[in-house]
Amino acid sequence: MIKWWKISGILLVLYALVGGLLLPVPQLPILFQSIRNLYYHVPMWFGMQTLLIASAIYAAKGLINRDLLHDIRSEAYAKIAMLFGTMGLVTGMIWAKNTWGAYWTNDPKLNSAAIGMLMYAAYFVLRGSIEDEEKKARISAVYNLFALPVFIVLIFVLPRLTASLHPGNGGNPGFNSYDLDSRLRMVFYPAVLGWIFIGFWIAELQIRINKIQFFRENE
Amino acid sequence: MTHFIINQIQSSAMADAPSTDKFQVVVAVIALIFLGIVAYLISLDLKIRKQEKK
Repeated sequence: MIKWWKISGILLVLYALVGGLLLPVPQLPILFQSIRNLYYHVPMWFGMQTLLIASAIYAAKGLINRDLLHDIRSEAYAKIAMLFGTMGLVTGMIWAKNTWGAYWTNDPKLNSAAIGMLMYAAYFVLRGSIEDEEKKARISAVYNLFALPVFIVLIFVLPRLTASLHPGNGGNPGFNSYDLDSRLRMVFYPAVLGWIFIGFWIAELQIRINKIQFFRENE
Repeated sequence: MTHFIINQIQSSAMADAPSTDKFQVVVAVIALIFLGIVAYLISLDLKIRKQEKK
């Protein structure tokens, strides 16, 4: 039986993919039709952020209960979060090329996102460098719990304090002020929810595979 | 005058907007790719379930 949230994820993303390209959008200078990337680029970051929060929650649970299954969950959520982060970076770079003229600009949000992603890359390097399973679970859980708040500051706080090309940052107006007729919201919110569900689905598959391997190795 | 130029740019940018046949094909291909990914996820889900039962 496929669970309701998985079916919802499929339907919502399908609607966002098709509706995102076909439904009308506000005509704005510079952005023009590229504003449709809002439905693909931003949901990736929402998905990544939700998965990272889930990863940190299971890291904390693992530390409290000393249960290695929580570590398996925490790692899988972080892994899929990085997949979403990569997709967010790629869609953002394509958008930047079409609106700002370059794939990568010296924008604080872009640089913060890159630093944040590297921080989580270091998380996987750390995990790979420890042999003992329990030690690996404990140390990486502590790292994970420190990485999340730093990541949130890097992505949501720092870019707002300096000049930035991103909407809603560095004194720029956010998309809320553009979206007077809510045409963007009709696709944007379902896209965010749908991609979060799909992200959790992929992570769940990863967790189940890792659990099977874990039980086989410990038989 | 500025408004006129902006309107001209916007209308030219709209020339290739979502109503053309080529665009419909692009949408159909993207939807098909996504459905392919979904089919793969479902098959993976079912395979894992079989392994879990073992």
